[in-house]
Amino acid sequence: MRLPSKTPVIIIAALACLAVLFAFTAAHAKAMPESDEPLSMAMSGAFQPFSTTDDAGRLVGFDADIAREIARRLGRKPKLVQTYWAGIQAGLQSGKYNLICGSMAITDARLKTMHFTLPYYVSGAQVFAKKSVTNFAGIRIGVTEDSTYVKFIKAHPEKFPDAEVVSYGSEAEIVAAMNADKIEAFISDRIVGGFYIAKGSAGDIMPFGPLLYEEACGISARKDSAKLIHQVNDALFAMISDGAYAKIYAKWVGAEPDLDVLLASWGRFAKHIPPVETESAPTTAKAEFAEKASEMLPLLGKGAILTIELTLITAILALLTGSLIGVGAASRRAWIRSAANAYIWVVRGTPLLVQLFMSYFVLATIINRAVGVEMIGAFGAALIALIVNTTAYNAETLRGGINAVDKGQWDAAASLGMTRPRIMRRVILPQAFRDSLPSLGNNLVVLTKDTSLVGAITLIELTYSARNVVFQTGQAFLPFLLAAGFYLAIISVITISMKAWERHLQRSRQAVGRSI
Amino acid sequence: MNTQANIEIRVRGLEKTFGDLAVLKGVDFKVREHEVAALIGPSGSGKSTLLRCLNLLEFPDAGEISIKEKPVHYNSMTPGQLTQHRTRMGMVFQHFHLFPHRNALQNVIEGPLYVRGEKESAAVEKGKALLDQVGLHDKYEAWPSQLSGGQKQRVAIARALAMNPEVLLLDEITSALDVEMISGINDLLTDLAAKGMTMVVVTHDLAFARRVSDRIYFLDAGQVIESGAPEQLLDNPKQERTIEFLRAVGAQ
Repeated sequence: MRLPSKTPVIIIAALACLAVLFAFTAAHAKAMPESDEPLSMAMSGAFQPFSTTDDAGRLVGFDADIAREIARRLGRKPKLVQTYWAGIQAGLQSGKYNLICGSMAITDARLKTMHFTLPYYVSGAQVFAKKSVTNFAGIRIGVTEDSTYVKFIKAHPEKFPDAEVVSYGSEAEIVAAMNADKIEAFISDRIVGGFYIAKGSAGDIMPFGPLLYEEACGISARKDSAKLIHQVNDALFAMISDGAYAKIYAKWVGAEPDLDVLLASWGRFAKHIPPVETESAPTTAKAEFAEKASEMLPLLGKGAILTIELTLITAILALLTGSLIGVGAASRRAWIRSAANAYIWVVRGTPLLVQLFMSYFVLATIINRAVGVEMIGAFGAALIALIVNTTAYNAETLRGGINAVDKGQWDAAASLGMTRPRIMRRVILPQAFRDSLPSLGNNLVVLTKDTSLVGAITLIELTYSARNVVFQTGQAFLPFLLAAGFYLAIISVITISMKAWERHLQRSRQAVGRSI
Repeated sequence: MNTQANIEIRVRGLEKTFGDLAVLKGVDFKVREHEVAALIGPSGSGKSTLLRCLNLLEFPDAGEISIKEKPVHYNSMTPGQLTQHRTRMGMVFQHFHLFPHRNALQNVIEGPLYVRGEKESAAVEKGKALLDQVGLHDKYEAWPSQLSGGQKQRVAIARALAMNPEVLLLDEITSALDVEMISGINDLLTDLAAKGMTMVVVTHDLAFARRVSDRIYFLDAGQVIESGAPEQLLDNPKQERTIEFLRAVGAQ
């Protein structure tokens, strides 16, 4: 049999590897004997005083202590997992942990995709605002994305007339945003806000208006874990009975728990406790998801447009700035060379995510305060960070290209009387650029995917919108797969365009009718 | 030979050191207008460095250079003066150094357009005429990668001539060529010399040096050992090292 050409063999081999990989991970996720494994429980670690981290990076707080106490009473080793709030449900559904013990309010929507224990504490949603705020007109309100607060605002827009809502990935970023003048108010848990006021960590704030609504927080599990829900309920009841619960509550909240209110809420939520015998799979979510499939694409498409905007603007500007710094890095003047190389060193040596936070929370804030108006918003801050980052990579690529150009080219151009700047512009850079184009294209592909990080500063780009779809549908697989498809399409267009450009610039390399 | 002709370039006591290596150790040299001077000598003798010092691709460490008896203050030149100095001398290199991203005509008009600021139409017309002159009337649009070595060197000569130089500096320009290309280039240069172009030629081709030059300088170890008219230096060398060199290259 004739062997097929190399390319299909490689593709088949890659697909086979992927299939094996999937099989392994799937088998691993399923084969989990329940009682020998540690009981793993997720929380954000960014929700003082319920979950936070200590100096050693260990998860501590009310949720953490409750989680450890429950595991102890179930005779299992506790394993606490810190995860981004925005992805915490997807993590549960995909089997990354057994329970979410992270101050999650019990809602009808969440009850569709998860089982909840009886409430383990009752609190409420409260607006906190800077003391200067007197009404909502023109006020920016920060909320944690996919929180019950967001849904409340959407359901009751009349309660927040003329206010702008800004979503953040976690409570910790909301605090940072308050301190950086990104928002003037935020909605949080009544107890959490009280904690901020006591510590002064979110600035000079106070509760604004009445409690929005009462909230009961429960511990949640996948729909196939009804038995575990019953075990945790038993443990909770035991903790309340023997006083362990009150001790933990007093330690973190600084007050005695109102057990009457808590137990009253149990009456309201008891009907949601699943029967032990039915270990039903979350079929309802799947059925709904199929209906929502057509709604997914427009949402992802909107995110894709933002991704394309960020990529294109950054690509064009970073090519110019990258050329400047690249020429600097190849300069014969030592101080210019050092300055350019220092820039490349610092920017390439720090993560883009940190640069995004610096740009958004620090640089933009300083500039906006100096100017007195909101000149640089999240989009501007994201562009600055992306351009600064990509510039460094482009500069390093071009530096290499410039140094690789034959020294004889300098001689030839200089002998014609061309000055150094003109030689660089007319002779060296065009050749360096032509030969660096494949690497510059690679930088562009990396940039396209790096834009997924701007979700961290409130911009709903492609990956962020995929996460939003995950929240809405409870499905983790297809939204991300569709997002991956969008990225692949964008990057394919970029790759094909760059190849065409390369061919155009390489036309001088053709050696037709070569007679040597 | 007109001995009354003005001196085009005069060099006295020229010294150049690269790191620890003294490449020129006090060289005296001159070339008159409309004459051709050839520099011969073993590899590493300093011929190319001398040539590169003339248009200041290398800056000498010491010594005098004058053009038409006007001293060149090479240690205190502005970029504008440096440009002016270099445009008076066209240079052609062993490895051509054509701009690979520009076609033949663009290579030729680069200097006139961007250094002399000539009008494009005029530069193109003159560029085409020069390419015609060097025998490339059908290669205006060709990329350097599409040309043979000999053709590339013709473009390089046209590029140098396009600046209307007073002197042409030729650095072993046939050394990288296939044998069958060499005579064509040599004929072209002989023709240019006959038309009165002042030239300084670094070469290993002694027959060509004899044919084209008015005076030959023999350099060894950074010094001019002997100089004279071609017949005198090649047929009746006086210095032992000249005799040894000529014997080694099979010229005697």
